[in-house]
Amino acid sequence: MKAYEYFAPSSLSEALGLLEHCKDEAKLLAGGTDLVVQMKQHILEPAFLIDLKKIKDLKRIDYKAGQDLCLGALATASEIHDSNEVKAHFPAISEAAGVIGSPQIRNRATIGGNICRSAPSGDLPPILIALAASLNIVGPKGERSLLLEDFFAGPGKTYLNPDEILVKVEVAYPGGRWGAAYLRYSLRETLDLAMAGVAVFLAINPKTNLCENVRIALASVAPTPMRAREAERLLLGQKLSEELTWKAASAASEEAKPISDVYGEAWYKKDIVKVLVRRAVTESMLRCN
Amino acid sequence: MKTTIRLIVNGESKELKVNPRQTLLDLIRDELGLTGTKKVCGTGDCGACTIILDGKPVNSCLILGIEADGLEITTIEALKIGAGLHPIQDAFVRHGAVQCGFCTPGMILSAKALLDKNPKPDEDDVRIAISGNLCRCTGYQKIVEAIISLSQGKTAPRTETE
Repeated sequence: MKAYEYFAPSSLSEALGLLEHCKDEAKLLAGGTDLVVQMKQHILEPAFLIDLKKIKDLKRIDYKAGQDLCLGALATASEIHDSNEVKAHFPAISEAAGVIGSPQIRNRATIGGNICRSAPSGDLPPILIALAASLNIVGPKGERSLLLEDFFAGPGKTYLNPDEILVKVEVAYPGGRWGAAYLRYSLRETLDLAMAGVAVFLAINPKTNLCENVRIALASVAPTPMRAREAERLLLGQKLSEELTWKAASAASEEAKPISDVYGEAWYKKDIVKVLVRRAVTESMLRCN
Repeated sequence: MKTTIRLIVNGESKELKVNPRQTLLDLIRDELGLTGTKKVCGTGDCGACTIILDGKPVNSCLILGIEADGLEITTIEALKIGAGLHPIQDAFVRHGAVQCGFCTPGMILSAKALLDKNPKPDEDDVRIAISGNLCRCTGYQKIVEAIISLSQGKTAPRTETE
């Protein structure tokens, strides 16, 4: 590793002040499960590290009935997975957090880091995108919000400015009868990236029994998490049947743009997408209440 | 940038000088001489460097030394009970769960963290708890049996005939 200056500010304003001075050569440190690896491999050599872990407000997980779930950027995957409120109201988010890495990794890795790392295979972004999550970001000019879906610029790149800090992720509790699921396939059961990940959110109109809302987001099959919009179009406004679900799954498989790599051939990954979309749609339907 | 940090290791307060290139694993092994914690992959992919931080198992190779200021950690050496073996160590020995022994400290700490939090784990709980610890020798079965034998839930491990 290259040497660096290390700061551990105890407030957001202190962190922003530090960032202002060294933004082009600084990296924000959360769990370190990705950043420290990259530093060891000389992929990243920040001259300054700003450790956010002393800013307690960033770790909060808050849920109020009828309002948003707020996940602080420094909440760890374990904390999100184990949170009774997340399990009760957004079980798919808890499940997604529970497949990341390993127990040791989950005890340090944070939702902020998982998002800002912008790995195509990240497990939290797809389910959060399917649930229309938005980000709360602070910078020298104040706060701003944007849809998580619009945050990813490419592998390893986001639209976070060098002088900004991601503060929290907000997920509005969907109205009506809805269900969501995140399924992923990996070669190993643990300590592995997703070969393909599928997140589904859908809402069923209780009177007509038709699908009145649907979002399908895929991991690992494009440079960034992607929406399977053709698949969504096939389901929207329709009565969901086994046959229609398979049609949508095929469409998602067509839209997916995986590369062939050590995790698998592109054609195989597309097949996996088809299977996972069908399963995730079915599971989401079962969860509609 | 050498800095002094203070942390608690196995119940004892320690003051250490740390340089930015050191991880917590380096401090534990090189500065404190506690070599039970092993340095293997260095990227958080094997769990041999597992220590317990705030009751939770973590990879010490991914924590920078400077981050350890103010932390309270437990290494495998904490399980020493006089001249005897800690119950988890004893179970590992009795069940043949140790071959080369390199994964063992990390495995035992993952097991300890599990049993401290959940005294009645079933086999699935055990397998998830050790899922961040790789073993090249045993094939995991004996390790799982050793840990389950300590479960107050008296769960028997699944056998091949099931």
